Amino acid sequence: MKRGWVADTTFKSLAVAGVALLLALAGVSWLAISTSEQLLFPELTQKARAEAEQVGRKVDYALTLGIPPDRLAGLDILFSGLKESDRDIAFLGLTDASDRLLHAHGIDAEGLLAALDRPDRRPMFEGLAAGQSLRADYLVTALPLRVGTLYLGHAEHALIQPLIDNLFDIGIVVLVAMLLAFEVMLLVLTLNISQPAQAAATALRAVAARRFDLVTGFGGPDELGTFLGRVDSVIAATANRLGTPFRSLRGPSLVGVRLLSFLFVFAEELARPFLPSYVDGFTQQMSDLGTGMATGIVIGLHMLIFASVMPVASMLYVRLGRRRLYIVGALVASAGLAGTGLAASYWDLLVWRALSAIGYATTFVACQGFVLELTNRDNRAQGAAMMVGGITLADICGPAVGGIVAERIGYSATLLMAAAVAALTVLAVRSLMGRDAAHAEVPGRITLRDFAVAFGNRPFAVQLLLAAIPAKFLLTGFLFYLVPVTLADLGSPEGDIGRVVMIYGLAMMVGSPLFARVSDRWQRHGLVVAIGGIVSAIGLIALPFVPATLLVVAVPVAVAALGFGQSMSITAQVSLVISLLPATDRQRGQSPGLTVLRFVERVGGGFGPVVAAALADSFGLVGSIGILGLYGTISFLLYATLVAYGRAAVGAAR
Amino acid sequence: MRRRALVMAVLIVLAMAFGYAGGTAAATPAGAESRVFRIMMILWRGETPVERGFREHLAARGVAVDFLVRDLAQDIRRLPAVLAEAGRLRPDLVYTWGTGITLGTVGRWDAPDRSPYIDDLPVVFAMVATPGPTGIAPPPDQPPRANVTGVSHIAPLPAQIKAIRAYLPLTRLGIVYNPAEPNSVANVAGLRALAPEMGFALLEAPVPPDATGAPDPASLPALVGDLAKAGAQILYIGPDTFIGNQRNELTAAGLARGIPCFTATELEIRESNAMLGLVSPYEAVGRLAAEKARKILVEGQPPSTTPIETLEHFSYIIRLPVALRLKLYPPLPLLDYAEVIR
Repeated sequence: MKRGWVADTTFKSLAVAGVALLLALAGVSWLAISTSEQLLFPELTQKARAEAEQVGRKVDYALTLGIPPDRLAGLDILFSGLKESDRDIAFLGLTDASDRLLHAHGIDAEGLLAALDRPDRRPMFEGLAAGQSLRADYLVTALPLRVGTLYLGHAEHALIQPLIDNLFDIGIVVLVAMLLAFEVMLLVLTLNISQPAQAAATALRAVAARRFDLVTGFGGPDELGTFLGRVDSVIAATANRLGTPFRSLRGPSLVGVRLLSFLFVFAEELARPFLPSYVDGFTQQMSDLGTGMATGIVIGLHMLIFASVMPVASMLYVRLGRRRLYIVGALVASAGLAGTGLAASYWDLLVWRALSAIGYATTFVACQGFVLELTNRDNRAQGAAMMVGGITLADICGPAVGGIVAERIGYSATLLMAAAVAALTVLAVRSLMGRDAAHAEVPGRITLRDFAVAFGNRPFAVQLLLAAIPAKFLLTGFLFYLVPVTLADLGSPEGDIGRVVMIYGLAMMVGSPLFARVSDRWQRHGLVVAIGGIVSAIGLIALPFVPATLLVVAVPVAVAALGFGQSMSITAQVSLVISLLPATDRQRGQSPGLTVLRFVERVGGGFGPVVAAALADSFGLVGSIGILGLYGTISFLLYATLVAYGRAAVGAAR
Repeated sequence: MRRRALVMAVLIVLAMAFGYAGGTAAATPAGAESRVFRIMMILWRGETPVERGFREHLAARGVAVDFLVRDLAQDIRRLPAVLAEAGRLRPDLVYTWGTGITLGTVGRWDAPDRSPYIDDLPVVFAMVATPGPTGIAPPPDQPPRANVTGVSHIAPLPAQIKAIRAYLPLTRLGIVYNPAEPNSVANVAGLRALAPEMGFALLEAPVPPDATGAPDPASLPALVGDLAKAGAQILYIGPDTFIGNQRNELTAAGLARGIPCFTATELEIRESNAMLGLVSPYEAVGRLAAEKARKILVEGQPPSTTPIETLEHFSYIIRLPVALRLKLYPPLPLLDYAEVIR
């Protein structure tokens, strides 16, 4: 974790707890595997029984026709047909009324007789169907026929095959569970241990310096609380005796913003893997527009509203304060998500999506403001990293969880669940954000003058038009629209789509800290932005050339490339934009240039899904992906050229 | 081995490319619904299930028809008189049964003297085994005939061979046939050409003529005996009117020698002792012919653009008592789709 921000003790305790958590999760996963094995076992034995019955019916029919059992022909064909649909079938045998072996396929007669002679073992789980036993390495299903008995053998290892097939899914679920658990643990540890410990250290250091003006404020019923309560009462008593005023060190913790930003983004991201499919169900009435286009508009609208509402929300911030603003935002977002889930028509849907975007923007501004209030210029970047961390985590967990949930309870119910999550944040906000205080700084406020200043700066305009907007365009057009639609078109279930979308967040999480260091070391942010941009777009260009059968593999690779590329260019871009601004503006501690950039790129991003849908109408889904990739690559190449050409000029502007 | 079953599945759904458009009604010329059409049926041995299918289909599609039935009672010499009558009565359409009558009615496509034939009335034939080799249909590189179309009831030869092989291994196929029948000769020529391609030997036993010049039924047991000695694994019965009439004698001769019969036409397995068959149900043949007649009469579609077709589906039939008697038991996969006559 951020070592600079939390004390070493926190890091150590986190490490210990992290290892414990990992072990616990591994244990739980192992238990889950054996439990699902237990659940799957009867399914598999039932299937084996059904297959035996299928063969048995045919053999019985042949016997009723008067065909002697030892003269049955074509059992080999039946056997190979069965094996084609179930590769775990090992053998097929048939005996007559006196248990003499008449036919054996998939195994020689001696092998079959030897297997049948072996004593049956007790299965690990309940669930053997009638006539079944575990002998040698086989699950043997014995089916009495009109004359004699049919034996169907399945390789026993096949019983755990589905679990091995699902290992990837299980791995993802474990990863998401770990990230979530880690988040909760970080919060609990910070609020209950490291913060009180830090406060105790600060207060006691003051005491050591013979100052009695600080109490920890962390007195409570547990051991640490009792101890700190005693410390506090001693300091307070002393201070009272000396007549010095004292104040509590307990205040809202910045770690709260991590959870709050996580929660509101998580609620929104739950719908990410299936939103296009969901919206598609409403677009029949919009046939004039084309259903793809109508869907693209709904997806794009969210980003557009988000961008345009933020300045308004900033104004409200002054009136309401961060906590009330967050509560309002969370409730509006909750209503929007619930409405989306219950919408009856396309126009309904547009309104509800707009509402959830308004809520999203509002909570976003509230969290930004919270960071601004709790930080100063020195630790602002770390504070912002807290919020970004929460958002990235939600980008990873939201689609993955949303996909899995949607597969089981459907789109509408998942949207209602998202609404519940958004509403639940209201409960957390009181303890996490503290009371509203006076606020000197307002997040995300932009004036026309900011725009004038920003666009008057040529390198900045280049940055905006050739790097920032294309990057957002790829994100919304490809990841938010084309990826879910293309994968759904290929028949991927929502869970799979969620896991593919999640890869973007994972790549961002891994890439951001890595490339931030690279970018700072090279001190050539423009170059890093250009390289990152090209990496992010190049995978998209490749997709139209991938055979349709491999798309299921190629799309996740392109998503990973997009994530890595953007983690590279976005971090470098922040440093670059801040450095491009006139010094006077930087005095304010915030970067209006960054605000302008964010605003414009988000508005641009709003058009991503719409353009992607329009392109898909003419060039197909994969064709549309290729064109987006081409646009991105050309734009970033042009950007690279201009940056190389204008490097001296940029240096002068500094 | 698996491939066999697959091939069978494919051949069951044969001739899909041509598409039996029985379902959709197209544009109807004005006044056509209320009209009563006159169809002259020229038949070989009275009405069969083919004609029943023909009549039922037209009735079901609401086509009112006045049938003029002319039965030749297996005497081809009666045909000219019927054709002369057709010239006088000028029916809207002529329906012909079998290769002999059809050839007598419309002639070979390239017959130089057209005077005995009907060229100015639409003719729809049924039960012509091989319209191409008999010259009823022109070769594919020639334009289709202006007034002739119809239905074949025989599955394509490769499908027949595959049907046999789905039941038992085949390397030597015996055939007893009447060399005086063009349809049968054409069929044998087809088998002869197919034999090297599909890897079997064709053992031919043409039926010799008796004193009157007609094929001699008494020769059948000896012919089958010769084929048995030559190692024939199965006797093939194709579209052959003489063999059709002698079906009981031929299949009995086969049974006596332990050789099963395969048939490409329905009668020999339904009403005699062939062991297996890949056949068109006769009523279905009649329905497909009726649909062609309906298109010509009601929709005004010219016969030249109404293709000569065979059915989409064929029935695989097993006559179980014969199989049990010969101890040649049907393989299990066949029982999934074969019709078993017990």
